[in-house]
Amino acid sequence: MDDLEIRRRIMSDPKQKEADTPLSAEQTEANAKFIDDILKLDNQIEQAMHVEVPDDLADRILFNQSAEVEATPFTRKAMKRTMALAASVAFAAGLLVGQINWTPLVVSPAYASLADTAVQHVLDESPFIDPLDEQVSSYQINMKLKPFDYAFNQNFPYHVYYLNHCGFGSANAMHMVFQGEKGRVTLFVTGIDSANAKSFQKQGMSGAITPLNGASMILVGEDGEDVAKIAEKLAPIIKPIS
Amino acid sequence: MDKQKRYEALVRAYHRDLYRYAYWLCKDGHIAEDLVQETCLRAWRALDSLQDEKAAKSWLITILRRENARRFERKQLELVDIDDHSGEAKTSDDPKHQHEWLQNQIMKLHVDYREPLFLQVIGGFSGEEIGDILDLNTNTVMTRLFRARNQLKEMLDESEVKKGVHNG
Repeated sequence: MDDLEIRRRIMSDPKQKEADTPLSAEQTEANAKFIDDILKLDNQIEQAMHVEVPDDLADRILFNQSAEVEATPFTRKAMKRTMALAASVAFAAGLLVGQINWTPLVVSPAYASLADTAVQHVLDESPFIDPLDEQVSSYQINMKLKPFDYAFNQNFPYHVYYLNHCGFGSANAMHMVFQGEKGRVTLFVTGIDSANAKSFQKQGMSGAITPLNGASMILVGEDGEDVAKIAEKLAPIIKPIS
Repeated sequence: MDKQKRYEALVRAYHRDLYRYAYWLCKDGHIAEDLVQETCLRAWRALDSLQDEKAAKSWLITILRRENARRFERKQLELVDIDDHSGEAKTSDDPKHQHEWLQNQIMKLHVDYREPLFLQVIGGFSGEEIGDILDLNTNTVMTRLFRARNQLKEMLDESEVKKGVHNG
């Protein structure tokens, strides 16, 4: 093996890991400086090639795979297409919602939120209120209505189980439970304005909103209770305090 | 060990080498990461075909190479070479600068030389294993390894000379 060949071997495999015939002691000695230089070069190359790896790469790879597992049996491409389609539909829907004046088509936000708040309140409090029968008098009712500047000008026509003030969304309300035609009915009077009379069905309950002047009366009964009829009966007897 | 755990162990053990390999193949960190992600997903789908854990590294590298080749098929364009970064002369002895300078020189190597060099220096593969991965015979691999180092050595020597001239 001539010198050139020796150097060639050193440069293709400086650590001499796979040489069938290792260099002899003399050859090694004669090329000691060269071997040293190349090992040094290799060391530098190794350092240079050790580029930084993003910290959380392993986690992101594993996340990607777990997403794929969850996406089964969709193929990834199908999934991407589906997602793209869903995104387009959502985007178009978003544009429509923004463009159209929905007020005449659906319940306006104020009504929706009055109804929602009322129903939620009834559901939340029913475990506490249902067992009660405080046999509330008409006098007590009118006392509780006073802060809203309203009063019933006749005796309240139903048996009243419960009466209180309560928080109603961001406002306050009078909260009353009485015996309706079929079951217990909850009545709220709150200082939130509403424009039109409205009935609603939510979470298995039916309800009616009656606008008062600068306030609203909301009735919530179980499904099948004719709250509109009750509202019709109550509306003429609830009057502003003048 | 169940498939999920086996996969996690593989990812944790090899993602760094894979990323670095991808980086030196494609010269771009973002593309490198995409390549690694795609490689790992393919590895997950084909994990049952990996019989011997000792072969995992070269198996993953082979998948990554194929992914990289696909990328070229898709794009049908050569990546633009990284700018030369005034790397003609190693003008500073600052270690960080030297490090960057050497990185640039490595990038300047043809990928045919750069790739086996990476597989030997970082991957720790033998000439024969590199031959298997790159589908070359061992002699060709050894020749390329020689040329890779030889070119780097010449670049280094040349810059030393230039520096000498500047300093003298």
